Amino acid sequence: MNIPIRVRMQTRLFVLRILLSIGRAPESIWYVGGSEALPPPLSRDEEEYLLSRLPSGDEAVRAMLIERNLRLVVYIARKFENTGIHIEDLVSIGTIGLIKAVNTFDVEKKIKLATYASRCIENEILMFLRRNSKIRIEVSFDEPLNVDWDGNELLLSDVLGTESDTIYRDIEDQVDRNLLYSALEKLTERERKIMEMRFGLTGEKDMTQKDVADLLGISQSYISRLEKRIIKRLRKEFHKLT
Amino acid sequence: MMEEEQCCLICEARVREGIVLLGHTICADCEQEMIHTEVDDELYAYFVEKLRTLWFELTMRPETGTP
Repeated sequence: MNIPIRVRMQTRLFVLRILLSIGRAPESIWYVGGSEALPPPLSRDEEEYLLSRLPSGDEAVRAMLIERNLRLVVYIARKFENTGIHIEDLVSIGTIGLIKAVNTFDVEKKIKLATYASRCIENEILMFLRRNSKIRIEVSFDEPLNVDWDGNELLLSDVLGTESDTIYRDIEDQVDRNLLYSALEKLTERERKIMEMRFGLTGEKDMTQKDVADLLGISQSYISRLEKRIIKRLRKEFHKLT
Repeated sequence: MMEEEQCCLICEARVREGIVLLGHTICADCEQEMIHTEVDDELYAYFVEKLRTLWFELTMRPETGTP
């Protein structure tokens, strides 16, 4: 008996949501080809159904579309194995491309998701390779030299004598506080919160990256990287404002 | 939406919402962060490092047959 595709997919999504609601990540069992266990590709009908649900913003739909196209990532990543980048990194980069593809895919356009995703995955890897060939001979000031028992990274800039609040002092020297607060408005809520806590922008005492990380339940190394990125963004905003 | 908290693969925060890939949750904040991060951003290298887990998940999965 043939079960209609709509019912089949609705059942799968339902099971997925139930597993998530009881705090269990779905343990999928996939057909194994070679040494890798890749999720099987979606059938044409399955994909059509999921794409019709994509604009609703349903995370389960998005996750299924990404997961079932991972073999595309592995296939394309393998083509770049002779570039000197490890396959696991190529797959990571390709996965970012795939996530971008599913998030930006326009179902109205008459193009297949696999075609669009392949282009996004390949572009992502090519952009990385281009950037990598440029900076291979450079050493970043933010290069981690070591990590202590608490997970705090010792950066090259630390050894070179850069004080921890230099970045903030530099910002203060360049723009006045009003500009800073205007720029902060452009950040997301989480980004703004991190900056306020790190640099005591709301009148409270400034906090260490570890304190902020513990408070937000985020890893310290992630805070460290987010912070640098936010400061970069703030600088851009200042330039726009001045 | 997840009722129970899961640990985000990227930021390691306990979250109730997110996409689940090969059993690993990526929270909505990190998903958006990934989409809008340029390859030359230091944060990008962090995402690449964290997503390596997916590759290990793919290669370490035991051969268990068809779905």
